[in-house]
Amino acid sequence: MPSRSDAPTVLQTAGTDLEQLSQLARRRLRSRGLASPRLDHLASRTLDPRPRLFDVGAWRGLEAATEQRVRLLAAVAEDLYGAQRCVADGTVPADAVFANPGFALPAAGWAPVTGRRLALVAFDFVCDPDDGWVPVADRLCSPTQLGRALENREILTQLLPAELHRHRIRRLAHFQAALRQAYAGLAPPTTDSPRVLLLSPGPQDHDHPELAELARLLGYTVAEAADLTVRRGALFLSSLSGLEPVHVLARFVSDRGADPLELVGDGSTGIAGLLAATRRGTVSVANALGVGLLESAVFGAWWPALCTSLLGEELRTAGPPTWWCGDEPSRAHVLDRLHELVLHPLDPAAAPIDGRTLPAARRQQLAARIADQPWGWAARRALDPTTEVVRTFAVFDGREVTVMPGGFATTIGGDATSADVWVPQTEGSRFIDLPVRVAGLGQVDFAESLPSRAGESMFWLGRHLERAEAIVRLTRTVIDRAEQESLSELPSWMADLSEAVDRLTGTTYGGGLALSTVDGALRDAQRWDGLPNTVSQLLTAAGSARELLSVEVWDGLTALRDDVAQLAAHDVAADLAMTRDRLDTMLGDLASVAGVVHESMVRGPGWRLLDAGRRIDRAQHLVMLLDTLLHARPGQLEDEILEALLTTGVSLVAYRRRHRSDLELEAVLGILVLDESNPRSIRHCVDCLVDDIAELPVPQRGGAREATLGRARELAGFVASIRPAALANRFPSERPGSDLPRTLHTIGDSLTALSEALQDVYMRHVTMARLPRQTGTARSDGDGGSAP
Amino acid sequence: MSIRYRLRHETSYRYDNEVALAHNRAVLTPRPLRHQRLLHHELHTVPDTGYRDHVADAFGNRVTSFSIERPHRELSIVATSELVLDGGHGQLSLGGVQPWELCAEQVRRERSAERVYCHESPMVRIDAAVAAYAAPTFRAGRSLAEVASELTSRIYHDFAYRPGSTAIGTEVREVLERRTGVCQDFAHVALACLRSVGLAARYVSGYLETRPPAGQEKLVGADASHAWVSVRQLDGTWLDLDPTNDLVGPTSHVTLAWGRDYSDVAPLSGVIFAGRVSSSMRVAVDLTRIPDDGTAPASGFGGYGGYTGVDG
Repeated sequence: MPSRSDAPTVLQTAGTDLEQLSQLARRRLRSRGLASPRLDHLASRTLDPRPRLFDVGAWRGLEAATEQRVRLLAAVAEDLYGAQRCVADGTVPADAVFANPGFALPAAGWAPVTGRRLALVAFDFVCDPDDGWVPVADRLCSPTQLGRALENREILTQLLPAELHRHRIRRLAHFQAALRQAYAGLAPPTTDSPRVLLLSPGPQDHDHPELAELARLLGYTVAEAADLTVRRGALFLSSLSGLEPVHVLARFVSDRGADPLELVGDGSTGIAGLLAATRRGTVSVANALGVGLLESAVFGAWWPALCTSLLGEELRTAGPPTWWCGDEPSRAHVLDRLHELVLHPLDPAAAPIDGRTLPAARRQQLAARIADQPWGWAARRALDPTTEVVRTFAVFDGREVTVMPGGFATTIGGDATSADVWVPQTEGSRFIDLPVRVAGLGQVDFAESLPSRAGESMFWLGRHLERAEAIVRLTRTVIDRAEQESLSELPSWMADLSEAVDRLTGTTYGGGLALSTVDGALRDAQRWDGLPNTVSQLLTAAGSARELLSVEVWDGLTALRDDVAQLAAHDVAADLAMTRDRLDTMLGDLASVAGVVHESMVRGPGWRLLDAGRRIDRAQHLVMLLDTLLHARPGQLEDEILEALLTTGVSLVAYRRRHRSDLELEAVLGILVLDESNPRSIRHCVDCLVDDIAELPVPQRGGAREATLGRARELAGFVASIRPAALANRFPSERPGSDLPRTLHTIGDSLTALSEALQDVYMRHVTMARLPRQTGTARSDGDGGSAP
Repeated sequence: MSIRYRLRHETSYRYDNEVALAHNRAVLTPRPLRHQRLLHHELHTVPDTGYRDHVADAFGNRVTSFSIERPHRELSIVATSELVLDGGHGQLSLGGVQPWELCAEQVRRERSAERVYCHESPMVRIDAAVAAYAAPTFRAGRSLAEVASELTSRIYHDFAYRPGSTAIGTEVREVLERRTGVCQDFAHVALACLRSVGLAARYVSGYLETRPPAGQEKLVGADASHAWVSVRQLDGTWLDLDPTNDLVGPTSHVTLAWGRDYSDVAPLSGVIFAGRVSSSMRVAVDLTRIPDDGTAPASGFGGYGGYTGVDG
């Protein structure tokens, strides 16, 4: 008989400092970007480094319960969306299904192409002192946290390798292989190289980081609905090179948001036509659309009977006692005990109501609602929020269930802190959990395949990284000059530098003091192109292309976020030295990101777009800077201006090496604009841009790419043809191309056009809209007519 | 007596910008019924469909899914059918003369998908106001026919028929408050009342032949999509109620499809993919009797029914 002793022990690791371990674990999570999915999402996720160690026998019980539950849910899903025998024979009351908003009518009456509705499922179990392991929640639409569970194990493998070995803990690789195998097995029989894709609710969702992580571990592309499109009755991924067929969609989104055409949702999300494609059998969705019905807590009342009726077995672990109010004695019981029960609406998507915390008046309203629609409610005893939950994961391939020998331990109250679940080998068994090759899965090279959305994010990541760097460099230049000058008498070129700061950060210069301008650029979160917003957008872009970025990049990006927070904490003018110091730190962090991007990233289309974004922005900033600081005005240019230009353009050293002379305009412009060996020069940027575009995949409508490449080459040719003497002419002249202002405008306009052309070719996203619908209307007396 | 009809239902969308892709779902094929024979049906679109699929939905309606996969600025969908109506349908059965509570009680014990017709559905919410409106009619012991007929009449008299006074998404609660609407609003009100007392009731989408005012010729395109409801009788047959026209029992309406409410059987629903775009729609329906010699009066598609602007 299961009992309290089934609960795993919290493994205390002798001789290690818990606090130190926790710190290490937190650092690892942070660097994966898993600790906190968004800049504004400060609630951190942490890993309790003390694993939950199961006794072999206790695990066997939980494993068997999980195994049986998968088969049970698969059988019930098949019946309710098929013959509905368990409704006809009264095992499940008709109202629990037909009044249930979770019942997807369009999914009823037909079977998916492989006949299978479940592939990966997750169950939450709590250990009850009397009843042993009790399943409290079934996760079918979005069996999340597998990514975090695998991640936790990876971290502990690094932190506690000796402990893992000493306790002979089973590995998870076999399960991952089984999962890949099961997904591949869902592909329609018409394909022999199935493409599996992981569907996430999108980068703004708090589950996205771990889904991207899961996709990375399984070797799948992670997509969101907008990346996918249905054409000629089949599902495709919009990638940089065009439409690529998708055969299996491992979805982690709710039923309702999945297909705006057929499933009731808010109509703004989902893949239009997905259900029709599934019905046609060109694609499998796992888990099948509609299975969310079974997440409804009300089914707790009938699992034992369903298990007997559909599987012919006794249910191993009944869920918590569930009272369905559609049943009269149960209703009376519930109405008597509203103050101690949790009420679950029939709709699996609706939040439960805790009767214990309701004020008396609200409780009465609730009682009235229950009396009114009794079938719409089920009740359970409340669980203490500190109760520990163990989430188990299982894969079903249609015949066999494989339960992951591990899990994800957290509490009822929240999953911010989690712990790994350790399951030892059976006595006497050898290490059998060696990584398994997934049979029958050809290696398909998707290196060129990149969702357009991810490509777009990489492009903007490049642009924002460059802008952040430009802001830091320019403001640092201003602060250096401000330190040198006495604050009371600022020279006029200081005003020009301030104007450049304002232009760079997207605001109009209002003649403010240099330092207050810098302060706004670095700290004003409202300023569109200011540093805080630039870094925030940079992180959003990175989050959306998460699967393409390595751990090291995340380390750097996390540091940038912290740098911005530090800068924002204090008035810039209050302590210039400290601000300057922080800007230096930030430049270091930017350099480390740039270094990893440059040295460790595959030169795939993602990298090309990032680099293209970066080059376009760098050249544009320089154009803006030259335009602001060298604008036509009488008199001599101050050396300070030229020096500021070279410093900000990271070309002072290059200049000094080449020209051991005073600063001269023509030579300065030569270095900044025309020197192809200076990686900061406009010419170098444009040359790189040509290379990047030439290496991008040619989309199915290839002409547009060629045209863009042609424009880039034209610009490169123009820059190469500029004469230094003409460039040094700060005053507009008659002939085009013979003075600085015209030249800068030509370059600036071309860059803008190129940026737009790139977006047009590779990122042109269309949005989805609902068509208006016809209202029917008529009276037979003839005053009807057509009234749309 | 059997009457032969030709039916033409044209829906046109116009966009102010190019639409790259459209996915649509049409419920425009009349259901073959015992008293309604479908002789011929076709669905024609301009531009041509990239793909189409015919399936039966959960209610047994014939649904066509199709997509338009090339850039377009206009989309026209024309459904033409020829059918024979054999007497009326949706008539009162012997079961209808039994007390309505018996029907409700029988429906309550039902263990089939017909229970979906007893509950709230996406566009039919049942609240206290609905129950209060229904109460005077549903007195104990009255026959189903009696309550159905009274409810139909009350809605007919209490609500003003005013095209344009409501939109697709208008809720039953609002229609009850404002007491105006069009046929689908009245159908939804009737459904809410019938379901509030535990009866099974479904929404029927179809057409109504209009009669021109005396001495005038019938306008082309003046017929219309129509909606009414059916309530289940004790013997499992369904009785038709048309609150828009105060009709109960056999009607000469042409039945397209039925479901829980409008959202299940909207004649056309669709999703388009485009940049910034707004769309306008117009609908024209012709329901023409075909004389026995098989020649129908010529019906063209003229310039009537202006486009209404809808922001997409």
